[in-house]
Amino acid sequence: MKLLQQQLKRFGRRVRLVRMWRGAWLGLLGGAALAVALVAADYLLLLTFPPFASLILAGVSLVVGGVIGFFLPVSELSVAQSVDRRAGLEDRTASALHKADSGEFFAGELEVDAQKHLGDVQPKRLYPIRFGAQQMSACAALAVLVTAVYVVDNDLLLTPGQKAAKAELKEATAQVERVVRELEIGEGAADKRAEKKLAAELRKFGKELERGRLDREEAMQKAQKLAEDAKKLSEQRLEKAQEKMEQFQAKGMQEKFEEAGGDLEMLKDLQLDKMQMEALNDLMRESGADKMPSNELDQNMMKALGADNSASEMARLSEAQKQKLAEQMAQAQREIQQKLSEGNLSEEQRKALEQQAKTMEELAKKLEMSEDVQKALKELQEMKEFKEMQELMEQMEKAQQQMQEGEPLTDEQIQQMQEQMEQLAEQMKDPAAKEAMRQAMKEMIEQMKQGNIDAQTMQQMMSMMGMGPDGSGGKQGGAYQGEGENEKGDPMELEGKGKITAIRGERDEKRGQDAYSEIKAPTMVGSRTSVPYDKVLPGYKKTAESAVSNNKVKGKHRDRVREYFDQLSGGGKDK
Amino acid sequence: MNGLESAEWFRKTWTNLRAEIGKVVVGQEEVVEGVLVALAANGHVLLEGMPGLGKTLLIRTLAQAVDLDYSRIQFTPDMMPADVTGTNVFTQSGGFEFRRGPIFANFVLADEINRATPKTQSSLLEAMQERQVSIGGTPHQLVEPFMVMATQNPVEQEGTYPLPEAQLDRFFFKLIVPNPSKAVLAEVVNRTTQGEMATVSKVASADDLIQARRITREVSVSPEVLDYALSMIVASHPDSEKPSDIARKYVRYGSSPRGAQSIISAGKVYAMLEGRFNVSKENIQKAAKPVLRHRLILNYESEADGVTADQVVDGIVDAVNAGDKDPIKV
Repeated sequence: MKLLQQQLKRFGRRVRLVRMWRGAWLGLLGGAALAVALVAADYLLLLTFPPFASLILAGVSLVVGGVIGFFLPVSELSVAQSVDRRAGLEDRTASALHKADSGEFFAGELEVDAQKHLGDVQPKRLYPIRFGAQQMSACAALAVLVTAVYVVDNDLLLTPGQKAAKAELKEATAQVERVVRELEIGEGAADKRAEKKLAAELRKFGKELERGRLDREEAMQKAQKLAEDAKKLSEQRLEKAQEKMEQFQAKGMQEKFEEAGGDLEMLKDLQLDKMQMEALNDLMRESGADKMPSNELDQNMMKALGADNSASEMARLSEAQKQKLAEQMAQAQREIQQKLSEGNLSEEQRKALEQQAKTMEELAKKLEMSEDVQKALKELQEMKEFKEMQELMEQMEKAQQQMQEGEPLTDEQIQQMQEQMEQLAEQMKDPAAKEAMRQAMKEMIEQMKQGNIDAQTMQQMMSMMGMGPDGSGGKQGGAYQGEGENEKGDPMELEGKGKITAIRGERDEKRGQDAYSEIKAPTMVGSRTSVPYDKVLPGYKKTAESAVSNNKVKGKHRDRVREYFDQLSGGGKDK
Repeated sequence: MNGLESAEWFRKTWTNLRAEIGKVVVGQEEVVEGVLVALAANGHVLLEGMPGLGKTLLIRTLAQAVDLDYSRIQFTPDMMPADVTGTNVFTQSGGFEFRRGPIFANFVLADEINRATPKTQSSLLEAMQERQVSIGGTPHQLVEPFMVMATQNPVEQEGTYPLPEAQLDRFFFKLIVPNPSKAVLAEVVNRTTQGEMATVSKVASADDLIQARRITREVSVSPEVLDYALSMIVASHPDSEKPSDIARKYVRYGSSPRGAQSIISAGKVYAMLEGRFNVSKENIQKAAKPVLRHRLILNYESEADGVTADQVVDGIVDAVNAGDKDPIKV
């Protein structure tokens, strides 16, 4: 029996070898087929599957298939049955195995017979290592895979123009890919899932660019959308960091306060200890605020596409958060400096605090406005006209307050303001001064567009220059405020150089008389005309008559229009 | 004798028998082999073929080769059971004496068995199964070895009584005796029309036959081969758990358990004749037709489609082979 089993072991080993061979090829076939499918899916942008991974997949499948094939169970009886079948032994071996210890009449003869016949059979003849259909299929699948990965991707069949366009797109794709990597490795993400999704979309966008699926316009639109998404994520990240910091600070303060036993006197000594500062530092690092890769995101991407306008938009909108963060950072810095100045720290503590201060300083610098902004502001403020305008605005503000308090302006005050206005007007008549002012304003607006100045700052500056959003002047420049339409029945005499006129007329039969006052004076805020109405009235009247005669005005309103202009003309004449 | 010697003896004996029969019976190798296999397996044979094909010659030659009694019964519609089994006869001495019928022989040729009435047929069939006959309430044991070879004519069916299925099941094999080829026919003519007829020598005894039957029963059958054989039997039933398609279509009733016994027994004899100590699946396949062809009761659809029992058996074998695969896939 042992001899028979030993003989069968030879066949068993051979079976394992052949199975390993077959399993490896089947594995290669399956792996290559799967890789082809994944490459196709990648090509169709259904998922991301790098080309080199396909070869790795095929190789791993080959090895795994071989290992599985080798370690698949091979029973002695199965081998016996298989050998009987393949060698034409007419069930001698299997029967001998079954009847070995049965004590049957022919058991011994059966075993001897089986051994004799089995000895004449070579395992490799029964289980040859073939290169058949499976192997051919695997080779074909591998060839298809290699073709799909490399041949399709090369530039052999492209014209020079197409090659150049492809190279350009590849460059853009590389930029996008770099941004994606930064996004993927970014720490402290407020919404990791969203960032992953954005990274996937960016990668897909990169693929589309690489494969020329998008024309330039589509690419721009898509880039714009992705930049907006990135902007949102960036804001979320900052908000979260800020929130954490606030929580941390509040907690630290509370702890300190509790330590002080609620003694308000001791609150002035409240400082963040080393542990807290380290934790704060970590928080900042975790938040990614010191890196802010997303700020660069759309800039890089749009730059790659040749259009980086929207980058500044994103930066501008996140400025408010940066400002808040900067304030908190400054507070933390002050506390560190205070602690350092006390001098009762060990060398190690001092170094740690200095390091923290340095980190925070760097971070704060990033959050501050750029030098260009500061320079532009400085230039604007140093302009002579700007200073005079500021002085005038201040005087007008005082005058307004005085009037609101019920005290009339003195003649001296009115005279002084009038002189200053005329002087400023004269200066503004100078084209050079006007151009300098215009340039300064333009630069400010440009800075604002690029996000280096937030909306609030700009508004303040405009107000300072008497250019409030409603055209009536800001807080500082609001020397002239609504002393106009229908507020007072009598015309106001400002004793200016201009001619003051008033028109009286009936606005509505039911609502009674209205008064309209017009001050003919140099425009201070640019919202009121300096042209007398009687100069333009004839033109308007002519236009109105033409409209009435050409039936552009409905019949029932024609008389009203005529009466209105007649009254205006008459009123003017009366006055 | 040990196993090897027994096997050698069996093969030698059967080879001699075959050779001796071959002196007289020309051609018909399959039929001769089938008869010898049934003889070794202790079974009966139903031979179906046209008259004059040497059926009677075959059984007479076999009887001569083993030096055993031989009787021939020509069945007719007016034949009574007593004509087969024998009867009690009143003697001059004043008592009844049992007169043995032709059934009391080692080899019985029941010629054109389908011409006898069912009553007469059943008397023979009882003897085949029980190896005894009961006359006047007294059972009479038949001699051993006992073998019935019945013949029936596939034509001239008018006025015949086809054997009922239950009775057909008693036959171990049903062998089809084909018409001889031209060469065989020439040999037959030459041997029978010129010179002296060949004489048959005794090459085996009744004890040898009994010994041979004992030896064949010792042949090993592995579980796989047994499963294979039983799969065929099961597949022949249209309403079994795993019927073959052809059986489902053309078979009304499949093989009985006796068919399973017969196919294994036949496989054992085939294995011995081939010098093996185990039954192989090839042996089972070889035994399938003679064992199953008369055990399958075909339906009207088979008759309409002209499908024979042999074709159905082939279909069953193919179906079972299809399910019998190499356990190691490489």
